[in-house]
Amino acid sequence: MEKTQRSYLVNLKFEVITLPPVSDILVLGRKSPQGGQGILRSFELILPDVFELIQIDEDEFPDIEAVIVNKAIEAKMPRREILDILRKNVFPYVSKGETIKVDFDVQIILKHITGEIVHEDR
Amino acid sequence: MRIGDLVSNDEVCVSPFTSVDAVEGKILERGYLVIKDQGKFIGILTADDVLSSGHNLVIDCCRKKPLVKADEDAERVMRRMLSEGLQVVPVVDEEAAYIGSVQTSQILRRILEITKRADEVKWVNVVGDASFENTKNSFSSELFHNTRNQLQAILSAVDMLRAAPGAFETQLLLESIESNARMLDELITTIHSSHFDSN
Repeated sequence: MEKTQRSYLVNLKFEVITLPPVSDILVLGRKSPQGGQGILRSFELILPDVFELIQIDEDEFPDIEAVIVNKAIEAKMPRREILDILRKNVFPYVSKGETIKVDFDVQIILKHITGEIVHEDR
Repeated sequence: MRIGDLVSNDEVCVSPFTSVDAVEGKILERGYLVIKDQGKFIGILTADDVLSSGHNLVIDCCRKKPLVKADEDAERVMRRMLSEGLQVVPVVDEEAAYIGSVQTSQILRRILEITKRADEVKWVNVVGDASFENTKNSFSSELFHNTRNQLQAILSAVDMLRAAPGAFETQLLLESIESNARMLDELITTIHSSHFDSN
């Protein structure tokens, strides 16, 4: 009786990840399996007091239920501005059943900072 | 009738981060579940909430429902529930603490119980030499008192039907209309056969 030959091939790839897998903003579709409260709770367990849940009005965007925003972004620019940017540039591409990760890199640029030069007496 | 008199405490409570899969049998059996976190009231979850959201967790599926004060009028609350498409609402006391819940079917049943109470027909048959005006006044007065409740119940039920309730509520309201109409029919037949039908 002949012996059956078996072999295997494994491809490996590993990398360092950060948890939670979102650092800036998460957009939640109204029919996505994971809802806002559940995701926020899971984030809170890993990184307490970092993210905030913002509900989106269904009449305005029927497909979007909420966004979860890193509070650090809100410290740099007003919530209204953040939501305006998302409304114009992200929400139109989100389907009801999707959860979308958004990298929201804010750079603050200040120009013409002026002040008086004070000469110290030597 | 106060809505607080109809409050049900026979309810099943679940914690907010329970999976929908784990409680779907209970929702189908009970119609709704009360979400509490360590004894604190969070909300009411209905089968409609679960179907319309599609999320995995109870807390994510739960849609906010208006709080009803215990001393509010039951019929007014009923109209509001029907117009807003709500099957169940949470009831709170004067300090806004949750005391229980009320379903539309409970309110309808109570309204039906009240309106189904048969009114006794008191008819004074005026005979002999009494004046025609006295007879007429007596008849008019009795007819008014014995038909008004049924007519009001019918009009009220028709009004509620206009608020487009669900199939179950429609059935109960139609039963109310039919039973009150039958009572009126019986009353009129009794009056006619007892006092006016010489054949």
